[in-house]
Amino acid sequence: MFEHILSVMIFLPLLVGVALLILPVSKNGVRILGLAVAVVVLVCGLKVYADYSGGGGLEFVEKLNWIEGLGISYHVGVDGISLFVLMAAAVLFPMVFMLFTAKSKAYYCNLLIALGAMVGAIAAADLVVFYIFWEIMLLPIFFIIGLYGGENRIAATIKITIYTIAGSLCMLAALVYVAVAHHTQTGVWSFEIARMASLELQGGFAVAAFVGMMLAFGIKIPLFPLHTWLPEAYTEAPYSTTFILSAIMAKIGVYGVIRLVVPVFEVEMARYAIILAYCGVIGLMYCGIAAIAQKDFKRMLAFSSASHMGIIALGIFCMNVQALTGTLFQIVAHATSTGILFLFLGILEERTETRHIDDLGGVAYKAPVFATFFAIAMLASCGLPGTSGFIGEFLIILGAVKFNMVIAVLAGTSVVIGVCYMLWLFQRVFFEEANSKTANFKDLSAYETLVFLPVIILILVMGIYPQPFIAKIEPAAQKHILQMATQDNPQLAERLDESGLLKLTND
Amino acid sequence: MSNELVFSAIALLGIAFIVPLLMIVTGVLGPRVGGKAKNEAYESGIQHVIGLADQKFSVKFYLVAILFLIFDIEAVFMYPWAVALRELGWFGFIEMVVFMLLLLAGLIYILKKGVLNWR
Amino acid sequence: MTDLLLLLPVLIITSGAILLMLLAAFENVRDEIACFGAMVIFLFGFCMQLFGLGQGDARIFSGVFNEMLVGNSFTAVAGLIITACGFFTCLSSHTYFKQNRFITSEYYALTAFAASGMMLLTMAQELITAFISLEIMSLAIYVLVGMHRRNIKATEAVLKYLMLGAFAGGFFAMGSALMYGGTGSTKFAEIAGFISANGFFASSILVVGAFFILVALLFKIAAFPFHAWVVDVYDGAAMPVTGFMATALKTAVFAVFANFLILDGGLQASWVEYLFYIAVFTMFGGNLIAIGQNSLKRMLAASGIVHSGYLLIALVAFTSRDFTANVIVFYLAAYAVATMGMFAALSYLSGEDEQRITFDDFRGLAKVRPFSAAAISIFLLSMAGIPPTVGFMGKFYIIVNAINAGQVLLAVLAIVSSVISMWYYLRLIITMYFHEARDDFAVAKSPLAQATTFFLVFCVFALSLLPVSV
Repeated sequence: MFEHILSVMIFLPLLVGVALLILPVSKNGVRILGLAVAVVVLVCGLKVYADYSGGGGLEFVEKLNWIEGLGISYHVGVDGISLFVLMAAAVLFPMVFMLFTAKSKAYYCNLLIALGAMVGAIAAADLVVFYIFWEIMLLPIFFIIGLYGGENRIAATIKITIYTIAGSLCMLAALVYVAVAHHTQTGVWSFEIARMASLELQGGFAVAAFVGMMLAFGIKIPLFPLHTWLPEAYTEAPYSTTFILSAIMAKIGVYGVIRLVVPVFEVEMARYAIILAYCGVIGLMYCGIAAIAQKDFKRMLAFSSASHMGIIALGIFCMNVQALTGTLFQIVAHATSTGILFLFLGILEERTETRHIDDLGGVAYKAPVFATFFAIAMLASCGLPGTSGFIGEFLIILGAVKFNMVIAVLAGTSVVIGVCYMLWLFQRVFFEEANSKTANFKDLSAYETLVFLPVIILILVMGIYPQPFIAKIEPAAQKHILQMATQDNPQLAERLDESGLLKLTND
Repeated sequence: MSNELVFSAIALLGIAFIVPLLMIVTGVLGPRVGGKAKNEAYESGIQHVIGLADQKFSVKFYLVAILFLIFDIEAVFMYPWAVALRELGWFGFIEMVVFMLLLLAGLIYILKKGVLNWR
Repeated sequence: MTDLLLLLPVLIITSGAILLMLLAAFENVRDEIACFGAMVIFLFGFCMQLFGLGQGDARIFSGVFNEMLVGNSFTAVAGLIITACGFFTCLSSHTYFKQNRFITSEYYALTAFAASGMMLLTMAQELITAFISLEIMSLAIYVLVGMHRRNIKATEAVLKYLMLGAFAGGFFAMGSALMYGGTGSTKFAEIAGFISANGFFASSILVVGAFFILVALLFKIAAFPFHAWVVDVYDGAAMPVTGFMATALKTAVFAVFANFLILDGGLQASWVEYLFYIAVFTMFGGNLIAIGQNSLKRMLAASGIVHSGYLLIALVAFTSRDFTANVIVFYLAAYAVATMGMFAALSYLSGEDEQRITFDDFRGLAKVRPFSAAAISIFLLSMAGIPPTVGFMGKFYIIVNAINAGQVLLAVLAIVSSVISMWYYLRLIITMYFHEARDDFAVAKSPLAQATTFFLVFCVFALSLLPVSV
């Protein structure tokens, strides 16, 4: 069982999801079974987290030859980088089964399939396996938005699907290019991710492959000019799906950049990091300003989520240990804060039947527990000291200072925009006068409080005592950056010297 | 070489002379019987040549013609086989039996379908 | 013994076809019996072919056939695809003709004849053999396309196909004659030998001959600029016949194309530049046609053009004999599974006299028949190349092969084309799932087409796990 723990985490949800689609099980039965599977995945995830030794290498490896001629195998494993993304998925997923009721059982089945595919993409150690799970991830989202979304669901689902698939197919070409380059350089066919890091890619095709991969991940994150699908998709999707999109799937985009792009395309990354970092900062500012202007709170939060993804992306492009550690930390922090806010807003809409910010008011007086929880998640999302969001964003900006002062200053000041719209939202919704819509607002039930409580505690623990988390992240981040820097690559070494990236210790 | 050229030139001239001659002779000597049926254009049995393109028409004539063609052409294969029978031996014999059997299958199909009945 | 084993499937299908023909001559034999007979024959042929798989590379009875035919893993897998397609066509025909009553029992005999021609075509190593088998196949297909004699669309389709097909046949015959004039042989291997010894442009007759043959083959696979017929012909033919044409016929012609061009003919180097453009225009031309279609059959026909384009990429990007052959045959299998499944599903869903045929007619299918809608979606996703379907693996191998051969641009264009093609595949899924149903989607009593559909869904996933050797 334990040597196949990752496979269980991947295939149990996938198979149960498909089986429940086919079998005639009632909606509630599916929900309970789905929850059970999500809890099994969570338990497995906790087991992985506990047993992870922290050496920085791949652990819990499973390898099964598949297409031997091309060196493709079913190969999964977890290291310090994937561990946190995996944990974010495993920990947050049970909540979507607990909170909202769906229109039909297919909704839960799709969620399960999404869970399996996401775990698969996170754990994959082979390019083809990664790509397959990456694509499967999209299918349930396509059906969920199309079947259970809001009024403009069809336009939204087409938009997200075409965007994502266009990106993915670019990535496919890039993946194959990298693997073929590996074959030409070493004479061995392989699609193993770890092996690709040793490649020396040069020339126009390498840049094109880099761009292809960045397109795929940039769309998923979403990075600034590629974010246009996001407001529609996030707004039209049911809340629990928006939550998954924002809290987990976007993070897999970030993870993909760290995992595939940074080690393979070190030279291109070093050369274009500044452009990408500007994209991150512009996204942070632009989406933040757009969020201020929104009247619909779901749309506002969608922009807010995109805005915060900008700073997470920035953390990767700074390419030093602090920023990378911050990014990995922020992956969990953003999922538990901004992600959770979507669930809160879902409850808000369910009880008030409106998404207009101006229609609401005075919720805090009617529902103090709800307001408190919301406030904590919101403040974490803004990066208030004492919450998880602070640690992550602080580390990223610290890394950015080492990378480029202008960007660091821009990023640091733009965080204030987040505070603006969040506090303004809080003021308009939770304070002011209660009106007819909010007069009968019910507070969180005991059950709901119990569901949210662990996450709220996690936010505070990660904010007040982050050391155990950072201790798990840092070796992996350090190893990652070291691996990049020590590669026999004078051109890169030069660039690294210029921007001072060779400072590897966490002084 | 020139001998052959001369011979073929004579043959060409002969044909050019004989063909018109024969046509004229038939025209002069042959009996002339007119009539409606004879003056109509012959289009393999189609009664009215002028009309809609997708109208239905009888395919009897085509069928007979095509069947004749098939069996006639297939029979041609037997001549070279007969000439080379001794060299080919049993192998050639079996080959030809297979060929004939295939044709026979076709013939049985035609017979059972009643293609040869003139309806 | 190996020779016999490799030839046996063709013998079975051919003699089966003759038997079915004789059976059809007896008026009291019902169509159903012919149908089951055909199924048995195809299944038997398939099993024999499976048995012959991995029997090595042999020139079959080279003494008797004078090296006309070859049997190897490439032809064996192509034969497997063809017999399987024949089998599934019979199954879906059984259901289809419950609701569309224009069948005669010769239908199944013709299907078997066409299949026998196709199988010979895959094995052909020589131009005249290729021509004869091409015509055996084509003649049977012409009749099958025009089976519905009272239907004006079917008549139009068969007329177009016959006229253009006859031209293509003429081109092939003329090309063979010129090739023979240029090289002194009709055997692929000897032509290749001649070319490698003297160069392709040494003899202008050879160039013209090769051009004519390429035209004929490009016509048969519906490649640009000879693709215009395919949409009307597919539209006019009966659903199972269209499926059979789209899968088995394409497999056979691509097999002989590959044999002629790269595997044994050695012509590839001389034509690769032109084939590059043909592949590109085939992909994008097909996409342009497909986007505008409202009828599913026409959309599938046009998407078939696009898939021909992907297959042409494999012909352009030639790496090693084995790998390229495997890539081609895998892609053909992948395409055949999805397309066959699609047409099997349409065979029972299109209803009486093919009344449901446009995108709009399938509105809300998922609400009424969720499993059928799911099956169709899976086939569409496979055609679009979304994992974990066999279509994705096919496309993946094509791209690996292309990039490995240095044709990066072609691979990128293939990807752009796949992105465009997402639109019309997704469109049907969206229509089926995200709209309300207006129809009750009543289907025929016979469950065979349904069984085929769901079996092929299984194949879509099972085949994707099958590794291809390099």
